Amino acid sequence: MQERHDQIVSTPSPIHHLQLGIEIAGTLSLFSPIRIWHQSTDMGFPATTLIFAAIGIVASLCTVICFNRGSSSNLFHLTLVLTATICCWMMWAIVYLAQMKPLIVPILSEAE
Amino acid sequence: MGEVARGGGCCPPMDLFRSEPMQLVQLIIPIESAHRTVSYLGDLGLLQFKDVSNSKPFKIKRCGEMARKLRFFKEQMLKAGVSPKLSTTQVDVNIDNLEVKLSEIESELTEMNANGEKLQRSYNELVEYKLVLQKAGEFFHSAQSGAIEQQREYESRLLSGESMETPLLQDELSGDSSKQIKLGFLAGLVPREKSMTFERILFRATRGNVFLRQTAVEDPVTDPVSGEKTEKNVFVVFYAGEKVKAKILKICDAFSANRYPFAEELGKQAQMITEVSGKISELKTTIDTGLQHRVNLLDTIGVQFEQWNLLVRKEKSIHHTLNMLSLDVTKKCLVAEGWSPVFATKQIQDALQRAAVDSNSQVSAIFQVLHTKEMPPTYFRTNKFTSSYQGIIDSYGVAKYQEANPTVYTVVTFPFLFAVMFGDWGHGICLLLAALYFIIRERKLSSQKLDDITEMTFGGRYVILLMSLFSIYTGLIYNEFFSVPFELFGPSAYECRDLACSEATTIGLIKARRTYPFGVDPVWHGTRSELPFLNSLKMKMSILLGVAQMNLGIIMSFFNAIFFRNSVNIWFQFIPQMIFLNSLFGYLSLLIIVKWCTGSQADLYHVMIYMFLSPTDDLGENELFAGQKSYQLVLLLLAVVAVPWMLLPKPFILKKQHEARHGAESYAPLPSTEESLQVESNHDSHGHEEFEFSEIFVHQLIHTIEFVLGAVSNTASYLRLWALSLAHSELSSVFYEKVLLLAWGYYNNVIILIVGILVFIFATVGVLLVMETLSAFLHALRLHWVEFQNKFYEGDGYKFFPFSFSLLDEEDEVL
Repeated sequence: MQERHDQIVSTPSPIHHLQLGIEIAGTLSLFSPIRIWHQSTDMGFPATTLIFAAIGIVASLCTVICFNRGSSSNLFHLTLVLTATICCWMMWAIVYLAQMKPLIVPILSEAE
Repeated sequence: MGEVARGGGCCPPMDLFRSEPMQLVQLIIPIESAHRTVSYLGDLGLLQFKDVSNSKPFKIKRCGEMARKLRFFKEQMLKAGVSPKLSTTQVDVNIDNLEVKLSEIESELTEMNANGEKLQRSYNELVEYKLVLQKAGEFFHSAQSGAIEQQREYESRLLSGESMETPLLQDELSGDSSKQIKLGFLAGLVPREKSMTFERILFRATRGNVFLRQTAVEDPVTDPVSGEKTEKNVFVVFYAGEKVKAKILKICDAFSANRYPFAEELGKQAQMITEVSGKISELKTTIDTGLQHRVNLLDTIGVQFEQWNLLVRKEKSIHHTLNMLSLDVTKKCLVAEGWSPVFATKQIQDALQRAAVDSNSQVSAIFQVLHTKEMPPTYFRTNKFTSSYQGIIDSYGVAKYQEANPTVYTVVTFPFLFAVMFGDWGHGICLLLAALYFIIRERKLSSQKLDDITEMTFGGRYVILLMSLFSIYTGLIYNEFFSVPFELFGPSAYECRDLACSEATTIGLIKARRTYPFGVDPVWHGTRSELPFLNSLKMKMSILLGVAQMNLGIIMSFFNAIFFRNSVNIWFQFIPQMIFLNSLFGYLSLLIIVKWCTGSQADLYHVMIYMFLSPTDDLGENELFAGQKSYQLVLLLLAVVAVPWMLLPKPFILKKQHEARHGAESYAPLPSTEESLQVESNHDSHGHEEFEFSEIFVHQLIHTIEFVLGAVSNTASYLRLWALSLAHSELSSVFYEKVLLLAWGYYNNVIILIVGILVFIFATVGVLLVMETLSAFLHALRLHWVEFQNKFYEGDGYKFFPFSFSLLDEEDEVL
């Protein structure tokens, strides 16, 4: 009984080590650190938000420079540009966030 | 209110955000320069006159007469085919000279018309006469011999006395049988349609004792009496006896048959024909010269017509305005009252000065600003871009004087919400082309007279432009180009679970790459789980957009409260409203975002409903973040507290304020009699406001209930963004798949292909571009008018409508 126990609990042979190592390496390669980091933080969101902000700022500056007609008029144009930027960003952000961690996946229809 | 600047201070001024500050001004104008002053003020167009007249000294009948004459000229010009030309020369015409000139021209024109008619009538008569001569001459002698035959027969029958066909009245033939048979005759023309009846009645009336011969005229003849072309017959009737003649004459008159003198002898007939032909050609030349003369006159009128028209209309409006002024006691000057923007003060004073100088009067007009508690009209200075948006908002209600104008945000949010419901960048491009067409041909189209629908579309061209630009953007986000998705921004995020793609149609794909960077992943189109995914996405999007817009609305009410220095509204309306809306629906929005970020499987319906039903229960697997239960309890408490906070304190505080203001009112001062301004008596009605506590309380109760219930219903109302967007994408998808692809399948049959493409185009334009546009336009409009504006907009002002000649031109085009 004890021998059996010994056999079961016996330390794996070097071949077993290798096999285990390959398995672990294989799974690790699938969930490599970069991939985990990439998927969990998804750098796309902050990056694109910054792009939207930059476009908004550039547009505001252009409006103030090109259509400069007094401070009250400038404020009005700035409001328009700002509102437009925020609306567009919100729309993009909503659609992006909804697809980040989806609960439903596409199920192709039969014909395809 | 009034012109007292109640506001500002908190924020820098912004164009179009609030009405221009207005002031009530009083002008005292000396009589000799009154007409000129009003005319210059009309050119300026920045003063809205109030009616303070006590009598009507100026008669506008003169202008009415001149307008009538101009209308007559226009009619005549239209009949002659002359169109009034736009003259470039600015001839300054005095109104009195114009009156004289117009009457001259009118009398000349009427005379010409009368003469022309007379000549034409004679001409027609002569033409008929010639016809009678020609035609009757042909059959006259045969007819005459026939008639004589019949008469002989008849008389012989009479003498023999045996015939059974003796006429009833025998005394007509009282003549001697041996007398030479002398028959009288009449010749003329009778309308063809009446000719049979004519013949029958003649026969009956004369007991068959006449002989009638008719022949048709080939071409229709212009009847001299009626002036119309009718088919006629030439007739000759032979009779015996005077009484018969009288009867025949009467019958001819009854049938409007024109009679002409006819000679028996052939020679005389020929002579008559040549004479008549001569007269006809003479008359023709006269008529032609007459017409030419008339056309020349009308041409000269046409050159100056538009100018005269404008002048007369201006004059009419000036007189109308002068009637609104009141005559001062001394009868030497007129007093005018009106609203004008504060920025226009200098311009008005300049105009008054110029008018005084130009009319050589000794005194110049006096310009005085009055203080009043009356509410001024609302005036926004809009350009061609913002005027259509302002028009949309004004259709619901004109902004109260100096309250926040929703147009500022509507310029962007209205096209944006439209685009959320329209989202297809293919259709967006079509709309863009249409908008650009109108904008590029702006100048030409604005001077034309368009029909109603085109006019409305043209007026809204900038709205449509923005709508199309935003539609292209949302179309790219929804990834729909005539319902076809494209992989424009990178690879799709999804791929098969294994290389053989065996489970693609049962369990589905798996997200293996980074999220598709811009918009909806193109792989979704056509999949079985497309609708559940998109529905969930769009519904949540609608809620998020709706909560954002409603918060903006409440913040606008905050700006209003700051501007009007109404701290009661800030503490007891704005703050509890924000707390109530955000602790419920703001929290829901937060949960949506957290669920998306964490990918949790929590059921948000469950969370929200049980937050109310059993707030102390454990959330279990619906927990999205730690401490959620206690957080929810706090929010629920805040929401519950916010309701009495909105309802109760404000009426009591208002009551206290009213008592503080009018506390010592038992000793009101006597109205002073020295006030020369009749302003006081008009504006005193607002002096003593009545304060009914119960009314205020009920008003506040209604407001609170409306807000609380509205929070739920308005948020749900925003779901129409999802509904219309779904409808649009489904329609678009159906037209594409079931029409275009079906037709494409039969690519070897050209006819089916062409028919398919045509049906696709017509369906897209008719259903999607026209109907869906109107539908989304309407719903976006409703969301603005109701859900956004009921948070802050009062809209019970009246629009500033200045006395301006340019506005006049747009009004009555019909003259």
